[in-house]
Amino acid sequence: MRMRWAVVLVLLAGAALVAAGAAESQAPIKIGVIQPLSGSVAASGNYVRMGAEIARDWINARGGVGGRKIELLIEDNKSDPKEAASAAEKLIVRDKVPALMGAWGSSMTLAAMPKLEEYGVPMVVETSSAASITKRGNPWIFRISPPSEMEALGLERYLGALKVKKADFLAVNTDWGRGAVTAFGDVLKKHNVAVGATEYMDQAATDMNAQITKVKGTGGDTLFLTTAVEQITLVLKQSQEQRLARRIITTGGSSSPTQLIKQAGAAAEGSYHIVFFMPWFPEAMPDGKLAKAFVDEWTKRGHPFEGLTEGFRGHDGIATIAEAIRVAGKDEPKAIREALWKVSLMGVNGPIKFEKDGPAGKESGQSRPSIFVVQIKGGKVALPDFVAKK
Amino acid sequence: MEQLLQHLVNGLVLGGTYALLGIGLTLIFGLMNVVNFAHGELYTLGAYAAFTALAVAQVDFFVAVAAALVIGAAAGATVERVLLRPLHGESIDTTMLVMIGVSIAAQNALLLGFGGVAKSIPHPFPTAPLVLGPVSIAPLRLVVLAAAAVLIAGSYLVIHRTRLGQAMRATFQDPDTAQLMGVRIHRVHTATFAFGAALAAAAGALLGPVFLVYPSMGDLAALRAFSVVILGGLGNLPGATLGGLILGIAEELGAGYVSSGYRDAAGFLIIIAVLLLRPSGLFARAERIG
Amino acid sequence: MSRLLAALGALAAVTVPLWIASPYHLHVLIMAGIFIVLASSLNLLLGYAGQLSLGHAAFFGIGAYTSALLALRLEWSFWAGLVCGTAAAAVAGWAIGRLALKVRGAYFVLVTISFAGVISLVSVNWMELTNGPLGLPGVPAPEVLGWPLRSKAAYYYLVLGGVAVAVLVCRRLVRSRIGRAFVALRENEALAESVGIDAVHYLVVAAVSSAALAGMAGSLYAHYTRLVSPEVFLFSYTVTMVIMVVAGGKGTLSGPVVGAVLFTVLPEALREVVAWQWQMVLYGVLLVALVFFLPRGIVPALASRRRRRAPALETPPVTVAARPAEAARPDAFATAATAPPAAAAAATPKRSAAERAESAAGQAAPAAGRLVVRDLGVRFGGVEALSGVSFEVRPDSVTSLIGPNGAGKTTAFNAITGYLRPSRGDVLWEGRPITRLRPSEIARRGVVRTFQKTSVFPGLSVLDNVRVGLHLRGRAGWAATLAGRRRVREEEQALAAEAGEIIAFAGLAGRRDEPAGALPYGEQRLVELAVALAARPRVLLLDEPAAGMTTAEKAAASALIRRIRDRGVTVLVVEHDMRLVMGISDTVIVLNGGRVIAEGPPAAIQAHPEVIRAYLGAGAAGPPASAPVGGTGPARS
Repeated sequence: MRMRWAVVLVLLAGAALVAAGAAESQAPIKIGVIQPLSGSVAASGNYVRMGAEIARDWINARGGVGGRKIELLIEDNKSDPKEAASAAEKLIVRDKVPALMGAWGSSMTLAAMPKLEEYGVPMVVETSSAASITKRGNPWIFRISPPSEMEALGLERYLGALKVKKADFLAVNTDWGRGAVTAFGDVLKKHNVAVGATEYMDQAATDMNAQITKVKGTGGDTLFLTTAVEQITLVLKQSQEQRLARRIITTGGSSSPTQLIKQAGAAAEGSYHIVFFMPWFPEAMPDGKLAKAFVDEWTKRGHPFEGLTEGFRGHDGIATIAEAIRVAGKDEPKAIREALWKVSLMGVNGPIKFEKDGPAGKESGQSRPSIFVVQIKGGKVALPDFVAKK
Repeated sequence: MEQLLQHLVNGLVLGGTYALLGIGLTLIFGLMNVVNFAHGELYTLGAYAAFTALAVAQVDFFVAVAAALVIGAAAGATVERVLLRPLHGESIDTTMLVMIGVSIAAQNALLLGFGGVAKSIPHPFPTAPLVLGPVSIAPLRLVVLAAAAVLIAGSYLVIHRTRLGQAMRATFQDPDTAQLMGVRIHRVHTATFAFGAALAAAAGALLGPVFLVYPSMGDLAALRAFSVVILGGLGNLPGATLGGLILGIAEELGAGYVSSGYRDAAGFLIIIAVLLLRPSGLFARAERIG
Repeated sequence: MSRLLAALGALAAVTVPLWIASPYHLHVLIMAGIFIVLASSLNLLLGYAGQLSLGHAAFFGIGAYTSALLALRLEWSFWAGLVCGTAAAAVAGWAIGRLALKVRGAYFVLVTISFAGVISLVSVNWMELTNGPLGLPGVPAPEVLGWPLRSKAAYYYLVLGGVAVAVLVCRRLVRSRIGRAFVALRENEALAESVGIDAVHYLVVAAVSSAALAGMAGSLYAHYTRLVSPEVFLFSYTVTMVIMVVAGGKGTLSGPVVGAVLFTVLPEALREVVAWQWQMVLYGVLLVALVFFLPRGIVPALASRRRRRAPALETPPVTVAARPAEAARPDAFATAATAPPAAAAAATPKRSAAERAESAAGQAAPAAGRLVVRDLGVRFGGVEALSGVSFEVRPDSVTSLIGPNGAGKTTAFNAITGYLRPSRGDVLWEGRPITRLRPSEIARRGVVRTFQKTSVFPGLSVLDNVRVGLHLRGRAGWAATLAGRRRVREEEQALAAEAGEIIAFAGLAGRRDEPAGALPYGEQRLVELAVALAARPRVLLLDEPAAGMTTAEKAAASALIRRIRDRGVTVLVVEHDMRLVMGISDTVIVLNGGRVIAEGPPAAIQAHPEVIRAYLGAGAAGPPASAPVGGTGPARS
């Protein structure tokens, strides 16, 4: 009789231990995500979030990282740097996340950076393009998106094929737009391409006719356009109205050509776009299978196709962090940071591996993302002739 | 010279649309002394109404604009009846704060409902621009100008030739006497706000296809509306019309010849300059309604 | 009770780092502290001076940028940056204050928005100075005696210090003569001007003080977040500040504090509670609800539960001396505080009728006390309201200005006292021209008027109304008030005592603490008179003082006017009640159609044919008047 009780007790104790152990190991790994979910750039922030969620679900479906599931703690930075800093603080201190991804806009990322150093938590930057982010000597920053300089270098090889002799710039008046103008301007200068007009537009402006008129007067053959997809639509339409007959190249990767075709129609015909993901022909990406799977999953979830050109960033950011946690073996900030220097993985965009960037001793990590150029031809997105031939 | 002509044409076309924005606000701000910070959201509402009508229900273009007018009027009447009437007699900053709250809630509700991605509204007019010498204009913009002119003329008629308009003018010149004469003040207030709201919504419906529709489109629109109202004088419809044209041209010339980055400064500087030099507006001698 | 609460609150605030460990919560409190300073500063302009400025973020941003730039480019210390940021913002505030000269109300709102908009555009576009959209990262932390403040707790104390300074400044300003001037301007600008409060000057003081504090907040912010970007100029910051002030309770000292804490904590709390999609929608709805149900704000709503009377100004408790003043005092209003007015009149020397007539005869008399109107004309568009009016008001007399409706009497008053610009002619007071001066300047010289429509400061108690009237008697300036010097406090006590005496003189002693707007009509007119008398007029222009009074009230008013004259104040009265006019006047001047048609002693005027014709029409003119009796000066036609 006592024997039976003893056995039952031991079994119960064992079960309790196992359960406790299982609960322990089942505590999810928390990853903080800071994106603009409201405000003027809400659409982009939401696309990144959607991509991050796909990454999370895929990883969890494969068993998570080290047997533990990943949980995304998503905060809205309301398109405001002050809120980005607040969100970072909250995620790090209240929610104790060991790593972050964010914060979309360059000034939002810059605002959150001091918090990273203060508390010693790494952040993967998935979209911001300002050069200063990796040059400030913040060793907790790891960027997978290209700064404008890299983008310009990515275009450089096509300058000859495009036969650019005189170019104008029209950019949104933010760090991103101005950075692009500087970076592309330097590359053009190196190749003795003349620069005509350099015009800016306010982030919220809807009428760019004045700027377009000025550009029209320079007699150039190419217009470099850096802004978000809504303004690109407006510029294309208004350029058509003013009969601005020249080649337009958009930079920055946020141009979402699909959306442009839908909204600008014939006005978008012939325009070139620098993108970092080609969802129209995913097989052409470095990891064709992964890219195709991502497109399929995105479509299956009913997300708008035009969001893919930004959504993939969310996926790649989370995948990078998850890989670092796997390599580190634990979800502890310092360990994750060290692991980030060691990771080498394949994202939707292509290979991700960090190189040192910035002042010695305090380098940030910068990966070398793949850069692509596409063109809108016949109402569809296609590879430009000079690319397709290669 | 060619550039100047194109700039001027751009400015005129833009100015016509600003005028449309201004006349709705001049009625509300000028006659009711309500600093309507939600005016931009009424504009946005009209644009989304037109989007729903055209892209989803696929009705005729002008029917869509009419639908926007009706929806705007209904929204305006509701806001006035529910929120402003009980606060009648409170200080101007109380009503202003309420309108700020409405503006925040409305903008974010639209964000929630329609999503942050900008939408483009299909329209039936040809996209190829009309070319007149060195100058090009899109047919859609000419239609918008014409529609705006019709709406402005219609408003003028309502204010000056109907009993409602008469009641409005009386109420705002002297509410007590008007009441003694049998005018129902509360209804006049509601009607005025609804009228101004309808015009704002119509402006949104007309301008939606020209640009794009997104939840925060009302912010800049509201700023321009206030500039136009100040320029033309409170409650002054012809003044607002002319003011809109002037603002459009000033912005366009400023962006073209001074600096495109400071384009919006034109609106701000106009407000400051006019209020300092001629507080009653440039057209104070033109007939005032209030 | 409230003192206990305040003490507990202060104790809690000072010990916060002991019982709040989470850096995140400290972060929220630091931001709340910065916003307390901002809200309090806005409250000075919005709540007290009654000017709604929606460009407040501009001052905040200017302070932040100045401080950051000095630290980054010139490597100045935080403290130097703080002072300069405050000063730069103060200069901007001065500019806005000067703008207030021209516009008020909703127009002022738009000017301030535009100002902020222009500054914002400059910060985005002037790359060389501000680094444009990228902003200025890496702003260094403040150093105290060489030690950089790195911990949150340390910064919390710095911000707490800033809050203490801001609250102290606001308190001192608001409870002073300057604060009363603000409120007076807010409640009734025309009346405030008439007792010598220069609207432009005080609005500028309000704007500068407000902007300086906001600039200080900006500097604190810049060195805390270590990054300054053009987003500081976002309109939404200003909106947040306005919400804090109005929801907390504008025009109160604790309102902005409550509002700032509430609305800093609220969005963070909403982060917890509500999915991000709904946060801002809920925020907007909450704002509407708050304004709707508590239009005065939270603090007044709580306070009014406990008090029955509307609190007027937050003033330190004052005891009015009840002792009678010496008869030898040259101050004409010395009186036994509780003696009824009639007895008081008997107790003080009255000048005999002969004495008065003699000084009124004034041949080649010096200009002392003499008001001369010469060929005064006023046009409104095509209508000439006054066409070349000339008359003299003799010292130590009561002169009445009568005439049918529309004759131009109030217009004349307005033109004489600076509320209207005359199109021609001038007004001389004691030999010097006062035409086209500001009303407050004219009041300063001793010419005070009352208004046709009852004009008091309705939200203020009777005592405070009169203290406003005593504005010119005080000397405390901005600097002395902020420093809290003893002579300022003594002056306040003296002014309060004097106010009490005037109130007693006017027979309002029982109503001292009642809000003036709640008094019955006749007593409000007495308050009006008391306020005017407080401004120490040497000539008092009363615009229909007896309008709407009962017979008994009119008798009392007549007696009061005579008493005022007996103390050496010249009185010019516009009135319609003929019995009253004839009873109190030494001289009567008749206006009709913008011209003087008759002038003389009451009896002569009553019989004057022109006058009768003017009032009753051509057919009513009776037989020609007999020769004037004992009058002086020609009867003009």
